[in-house]
Amino acid sequence: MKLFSLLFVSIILSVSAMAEDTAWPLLPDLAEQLHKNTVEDLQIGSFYFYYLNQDYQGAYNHLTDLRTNKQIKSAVLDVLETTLLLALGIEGKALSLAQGIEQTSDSVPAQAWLYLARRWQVIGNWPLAEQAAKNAYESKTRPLEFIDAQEALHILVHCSVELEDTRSANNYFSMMAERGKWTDYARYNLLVGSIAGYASIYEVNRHVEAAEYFFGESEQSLALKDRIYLLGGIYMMEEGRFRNAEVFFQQVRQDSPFEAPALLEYGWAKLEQSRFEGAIQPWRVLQTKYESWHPAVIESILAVPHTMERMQATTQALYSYEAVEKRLLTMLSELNQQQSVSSIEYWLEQWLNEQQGEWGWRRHDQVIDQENPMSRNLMSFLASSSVRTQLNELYDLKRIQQDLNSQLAQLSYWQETAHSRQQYLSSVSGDSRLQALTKRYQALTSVIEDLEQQWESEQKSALAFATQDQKIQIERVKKAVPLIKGLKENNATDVDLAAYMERWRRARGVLVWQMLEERPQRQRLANNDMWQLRQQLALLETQLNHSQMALAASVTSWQGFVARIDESKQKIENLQQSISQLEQRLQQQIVANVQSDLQKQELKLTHYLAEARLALARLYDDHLQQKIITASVGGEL
Amino acid sequence: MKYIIIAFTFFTFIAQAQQPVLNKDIAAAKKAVIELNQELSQLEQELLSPKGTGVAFYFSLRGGQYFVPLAVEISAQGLTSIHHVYTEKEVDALRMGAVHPVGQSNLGAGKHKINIKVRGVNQQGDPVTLNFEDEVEKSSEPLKLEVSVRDDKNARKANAQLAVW
Repeated sequence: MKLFSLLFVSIILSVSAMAEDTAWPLLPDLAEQLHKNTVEDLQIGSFYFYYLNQDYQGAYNHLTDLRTNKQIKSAVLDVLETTLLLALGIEGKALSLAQGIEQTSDSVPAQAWLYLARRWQVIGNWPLAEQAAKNAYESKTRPLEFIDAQEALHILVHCSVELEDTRSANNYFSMMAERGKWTDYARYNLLVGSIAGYASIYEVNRHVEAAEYFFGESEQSLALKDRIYLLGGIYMMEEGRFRNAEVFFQQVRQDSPFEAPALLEYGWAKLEQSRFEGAIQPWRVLQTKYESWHPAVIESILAVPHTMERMQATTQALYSYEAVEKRLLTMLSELNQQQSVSSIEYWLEQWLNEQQGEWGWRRHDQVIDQENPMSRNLMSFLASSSVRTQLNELYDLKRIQQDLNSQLAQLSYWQETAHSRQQYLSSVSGDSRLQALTKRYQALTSVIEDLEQQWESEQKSALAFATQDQKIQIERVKKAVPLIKGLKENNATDVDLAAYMERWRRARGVLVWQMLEERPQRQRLANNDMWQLRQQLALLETQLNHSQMALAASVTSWQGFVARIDESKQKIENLQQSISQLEQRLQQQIVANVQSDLQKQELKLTHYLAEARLALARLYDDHLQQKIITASVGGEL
Repeated sequence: MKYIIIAFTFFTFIAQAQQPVLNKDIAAAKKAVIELNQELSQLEQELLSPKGTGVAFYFSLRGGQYFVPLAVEISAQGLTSIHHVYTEKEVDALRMGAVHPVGQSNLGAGKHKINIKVRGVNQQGDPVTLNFEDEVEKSSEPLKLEVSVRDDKNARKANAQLAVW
């Protein structure tokens, strides 16, 4: 009569504790290379910023820039890319890249090995995980911190258990600290290994007792302890040690995720010891606390009348079996209706609409509508990691399609912009305008060159930098010379030439004196003006060069974009097509899986129904036989 | 409608070593999408900011003992102001040596005065604004400007400066 639910089968699997972000430990090593004040620091630092803020797409986009910088070592870039690809969930490429690092780089830090070990562990490649964890533990290049070394040992224990190498598992375990998170996980894995390897009751007991003594008080440790008690209890039940099993089940905490199976098994352990009332009590608790579709509850509703039957409480057992039959029939009819492809597809559509967030690492936690009968029936199915992965993938594909649609629309806008920009550039005729401006600049340059020459000749003149008035006066003084000369030649005795000559000499002297006195200041002013003019000319030349550059950039920057956009649009459309096919294939697979799960449930319920009906028939038959016997005894009397 | 979030702490499963073909196809499609996104981002960048006029601003924090940045604002004549408000996670990343690519913009060639305001709090939790102006020259090459806030242990305060790359 003992029935094990799917949940109990799943518990036999080894535990594999993963850090939330497995890529994290790599980065502090890379941080050591920063702050050297180079442009490479700026680039790696930017990658780091995107990565630490979980903008993996941004980091991936940035990687292109990093690859163009030849100063950054390719090993560093490979590590960064591997980190990123794993964070993005593209494991195939990441692993091939990681293998490249493994083969070529002699200076891979211990943490990088640990990181690889984790990924191999997730994928379930035990020999490679073991090798990488061993390298991590033994590497002398930036050796692991204590807590990371413990994790490496835990991976080694886990791999050895999976590879059924108990001796190595125990050997690695002996190297671990007495207490700690990773020791707890390793201890659990050793227990799983012991049970799978048909260890003695003594051995299993020893592991459970060690867990009781060494495990910490953190929620994680307590949950692991519950799991160990449940696993130990089931093992003891199988070995027929019901009293020991009962003790283990009693240790599972109330409201822990393991409470429901522990209550169910606790009842069975009591029943096996013929402690009937004690058996019914945990099942009643189970039925009160948990949903009617919980596998443990379904099993317990059949277990209750079975116990009553064994207690000889025939009437109560009969009523109970009848109630169970009615309940199972309702459940079976519901299951039957839900198995059609259309109802599964409808449920799937509803489920997808309820999910939120972007795809991949930006996807939110899965949510299920507890009120939905189909979701309720599929609760155990949805708890399976492979099913969750499939559903997540389907959501991702739907979401990717939406994103691609919006990208396509955005590209169309860009295409329009590129078109209008090109048209605008041709309409402004920047090239001809710039040519005209260049001609004007050249004319201006020749004017300034003339000025330069003038300025230079002025420097050589004795009466340089004269004002306009002074120039007139110089002209007058110059004109006076031929007049005086003429008077002298004509022997104009009635004119006092000596006085004229003296006046001319004095006037010339005053003029020269004034000009020489003012010359330095005027020269300075003229030099300043000339210098400013040269500066303005240089600025004008720079501006002209910049304008030429801007024109060239604006023309070239918009050239070829329309074709590039077209190419990108084509790529998106191709991708949309292949994603749509994948979506269809995946949906078909999920529908088939759901159908199969519902069929399994139907089979199980049919089996329960048969058990209940058989019991009913047996009870009625017993009652009838008793009646016949009583009647015949009465007749004889 | 009542929703519950599935608690996944129940059991941990190990993925199968041999992935089904469909999973591989999906992974390949996802990689193609990520690569396409990268390509589109590059295209968009080139459309928005031609290489000759492109200027990229970065923000870095060295130390972070005397100053915790809350926001940065970069402005210049002819440049649309660039603002960023930092989250706690971003500040943590900056403290670990990450450099924040604040944003990209376009500047014509020539000299430009860049005004930078970094708002934050000091070690006592009092609001502090590091405000300064610097002149940079933009040539035909793309320009990288890093606003760097560093701790000055002697003065027990942080200083901001602009580095040109």
